[in-house]
Amino acid sequence: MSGISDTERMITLKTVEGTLFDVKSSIAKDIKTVQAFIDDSDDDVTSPIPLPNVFTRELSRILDYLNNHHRFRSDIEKADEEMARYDAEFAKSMSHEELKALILAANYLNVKDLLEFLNQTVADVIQNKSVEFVRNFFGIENDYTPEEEEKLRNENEWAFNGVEQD
Amino acid sequence: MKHEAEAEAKVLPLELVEKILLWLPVKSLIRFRCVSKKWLSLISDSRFVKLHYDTADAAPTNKNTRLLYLSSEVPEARCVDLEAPICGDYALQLPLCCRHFSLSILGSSRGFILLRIHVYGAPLLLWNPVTGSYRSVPYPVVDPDASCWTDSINLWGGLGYDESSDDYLIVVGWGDGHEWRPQWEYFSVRTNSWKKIECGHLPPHLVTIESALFCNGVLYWLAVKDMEVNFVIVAFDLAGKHLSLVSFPTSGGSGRLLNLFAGCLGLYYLNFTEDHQKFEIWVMKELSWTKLNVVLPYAHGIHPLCLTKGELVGIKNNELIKVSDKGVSVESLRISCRDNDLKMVMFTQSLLSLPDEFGCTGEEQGK
Repeated sequence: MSGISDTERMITLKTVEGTLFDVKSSIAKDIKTVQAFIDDSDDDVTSPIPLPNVFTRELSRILDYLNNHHRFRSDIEKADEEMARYDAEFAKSMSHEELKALILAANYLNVKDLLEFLNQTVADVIQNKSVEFVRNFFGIENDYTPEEEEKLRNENEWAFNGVEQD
Repeated sequence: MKHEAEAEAKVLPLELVEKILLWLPVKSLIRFRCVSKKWLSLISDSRFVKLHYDTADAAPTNKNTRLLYLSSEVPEARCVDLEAPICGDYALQLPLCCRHFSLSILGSSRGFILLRIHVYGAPLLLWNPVTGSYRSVPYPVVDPDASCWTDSINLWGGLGYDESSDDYLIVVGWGDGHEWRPQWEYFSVRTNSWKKIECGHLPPHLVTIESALFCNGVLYWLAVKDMEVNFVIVAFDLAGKHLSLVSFPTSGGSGRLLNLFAGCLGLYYLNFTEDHQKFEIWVMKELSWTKLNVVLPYAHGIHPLCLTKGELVGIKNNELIKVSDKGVSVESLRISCRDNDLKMVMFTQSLLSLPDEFGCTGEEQGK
């Protein structure tokens, strides 16, 4: 396995909009869907790899995340602290819709660490929120009758204490 | 830049929603069962529930750890989150069958509480306060609340989980501290039966004095032997089904208390030998004691419950108190319970249900 060097092989990725991104092969390794495509190809991949489900905004975010995490990992001393600061900023920079779009992209590209981080981010956003907020967030329609919902709420009154304002 | 994705709200498929829900505390999940019927069935699914428990348990601090106590004023259990500011507690409904009797807590494991009902004819109860479900378990011997049992007989117990057999075990022991040799038995929830535990190698007059602690496959009790104030720790290994004694890390001192620290057996040790009294904390790691490098303030009369972010939470009379590392009380909460008579326990909220018994048809469900 070679480390990061000037001569490292580059791979080109193409988003839905047709934007091209050149990516180091060491970064592409963390994008399992891309790596699988490379592994399945007989020859060296030279033409851009099309990503029919991934938009430019999401791919650029994912690459930013991976590049930064690679950089942190190469500097053991400050890694944890800087990574935590970067992650917090990264999570804060997105709207709820952007967050969901990124989850879909990270899931399609199979970027495990990022997906887990995003899942935890969403969990932190919703954990003290109301049922109505969560329905809105995920675009879910309430299929309970008012009586059914009332009954469920009454049985678990304690779980509705201390809910934040939406 | 043009961005078609913005046009409509993104809907995450259920398998991605599930991965998000795995990170939520139990309390949020109970609330979000109201989101939709699909969410209710996902959150009730036994595979999800197990995965959720394991995810929360693997985190450095489990978000679902709470103090549960039985109120001395009204027939209900109450819960406090000691990690958060201890500004309030909330009620959890007790199973109907035990609401009007005196109760004590014998132990807890993976979200279940082992309750003893102090009335003749009443069984032990295994209860999940979060889901409300419970199962009754008859005593192995004569009912300890029968009149032929005198007050001098102690009955103690504990609850643990054996991973190798995916089984919950209830352990009980009883003895009078002098004439009778104590006896011990364990109950397997899977096989629905009691078995005797060999205890001939233990001191003959051993009586445990606190409820059991369960960690890493072993149940621990603080016990007194030989009618003297001579403390020992009794351990029951759930996989091997055997009892043994664990020695203390140091001799002398007093005020020993067992508790859990970051998933390990912890021992508070009140050291009187120094200029002033202070707590030391020892934890058991890989079968040997390690002294933790924390200096705990000694607040007079406080009974330590847990350490959170360098602060000690304990109970004194009927008040929960959080003490800073400087020994100053930073928060307090009056609760309707005193730290005695086995009325409180640290437990981990879970959505788990008990494994099915063999040949058991239908199970009582609490509300």
